[in-house]
Amino acid sequence: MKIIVKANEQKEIFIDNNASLDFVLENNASLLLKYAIFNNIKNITINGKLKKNAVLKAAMADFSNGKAKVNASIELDDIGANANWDLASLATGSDQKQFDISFIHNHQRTIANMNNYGVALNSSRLVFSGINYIKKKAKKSQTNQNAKIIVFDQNASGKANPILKIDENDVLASHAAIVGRLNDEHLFYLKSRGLNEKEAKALIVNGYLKPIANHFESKTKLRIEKMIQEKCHV
Amino acid sequence: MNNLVIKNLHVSVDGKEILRGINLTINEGDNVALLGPNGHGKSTLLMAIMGHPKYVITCGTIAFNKKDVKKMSVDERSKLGLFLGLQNPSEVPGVNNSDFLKNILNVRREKPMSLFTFYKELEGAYQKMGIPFEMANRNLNEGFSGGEKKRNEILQMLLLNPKIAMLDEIDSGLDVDAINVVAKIINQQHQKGTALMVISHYARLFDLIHPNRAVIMVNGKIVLDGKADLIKRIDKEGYEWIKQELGIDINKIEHNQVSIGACATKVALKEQNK
Ligand SMILES: Nc1ncnc2c1ncn2[C@@H]1O[C@H](COP(=O)(O)OP(=O)(O)O)[C@@H](O)[C@H]1O
Ligand SMILES: [Mg+2]
Repeated sequence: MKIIVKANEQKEIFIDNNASLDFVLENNASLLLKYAIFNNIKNITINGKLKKNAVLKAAMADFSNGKAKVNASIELDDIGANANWDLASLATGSDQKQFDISFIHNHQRTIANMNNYGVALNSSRLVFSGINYIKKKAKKSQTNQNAKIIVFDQNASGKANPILKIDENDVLASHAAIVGRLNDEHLFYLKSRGLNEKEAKALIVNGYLKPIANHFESKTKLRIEKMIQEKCHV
Repeated sequence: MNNLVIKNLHVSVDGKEILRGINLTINEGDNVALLGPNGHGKSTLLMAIMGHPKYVITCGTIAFNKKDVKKMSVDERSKLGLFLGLQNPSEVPGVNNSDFLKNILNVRREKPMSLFTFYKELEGAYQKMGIPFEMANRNLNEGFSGGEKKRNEILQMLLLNPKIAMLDEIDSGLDVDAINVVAKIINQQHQKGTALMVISHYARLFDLIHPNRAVIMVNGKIVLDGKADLIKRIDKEGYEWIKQELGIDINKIEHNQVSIGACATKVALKEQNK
């Protein structure tokens, strides 16, 4: 699928399958991009270019099954381009999912913000590798990346590789990445305050996954909440 | 009348026997200081009462208001009114503190609180504790300093209003001002009818909360259960005198001295003698 949002126009796209996407946001254009993937996942490639003062707000809710790579590469090509990316991914069973998300600041005064949240259960594997690349001359740019994975089971694994590549001095960049493993001490702590096992786990998975639901309209929102309940048994 | 009755409690950790026959009763209105040298089983006692799976009860009983606590899950014990302020509170990743607090309040109510009532209550509790309300939006204990974690424990005690609060070295990591605030909250909680069992190595906290009893644990046993003036004596003289007066060798913990078999036999003998 290829989309061009013309100068000064606004567009909203909702995709509930494995469709790949190429898009260009022209000057002052804005795009609200919402992905919700519930069934089997296949490789997805997203390429985007943002022109002057273009705004991207992207949210991806991934509750799919399977083995795949999602590759998103967003280029901030002109002054004032602003991109925001929120991802929540749940890996269960023997899923193997990798998300390579990159923001490339090609021009000065561009802003990017990336949040990747994930939960890995059973014997699944979840990898977030986010790249924020500020090129030479892209001064006064701001870039931020936040990656968090919680791993529930012994055989599950999670990995967060945040990469900041900065070729310019006069910029603001930050990143945080945490892969946590749920252990008996956490569960005991929550239980000792009156939560049973199910309630304790629900509190944790909801903390990671539920906020993404707010990006979607009510039908999808409910579906996300139901998915969390069913797949996490909470 | 609330009471916690512990009889002949033996507890093992990783197959090592740590508690060797604890007999202890905490009555309503009690404010008990639990003292003893490092590593002699104080925390183990509290963990076993709360039901941590690592602390295995090999024999003995724990009853709260005549109910068999041993048979209950950890969360049931909490709902029954037992509260344990941990020596080392866990950092639970990804759980928002205020979400957590809302959940632990709501699971003990028929109907969930309205968001407004909850925030009012929470704000009040933070104010009492002198903690900035913004802390509610951080993740549960994640990146909290030692003192912040301890204050978060006391905040939970305040919100949950337990029947008995067991506080394990709640003063460690707190500065003088924070100790004063925490002691004030503990005193108010006690006045509301919560019985206390408090572990601390510092007389400062006890000076502020005035226990009515001091219990001394050595080698996994309670060797003294008496008046609060024991606290002063231990603060001055340490535990050496216990060795002399009671003939107990404090430094020698021989594990597996009492096997599970022996513990079971003792109980059997006791039952026969009834
Ligand atoms: N979770 C645990 N894992 C292994 N050993 C433990 C654990 N908790 C307590 N112990 C052991 O039990 C003994 C008593 O410890 P503890 O109850 O923490 O003592 P205290 O609180 O009196 O300082 C020590 O030998 C300690 O190493
Ligand atoms: Mg201890």
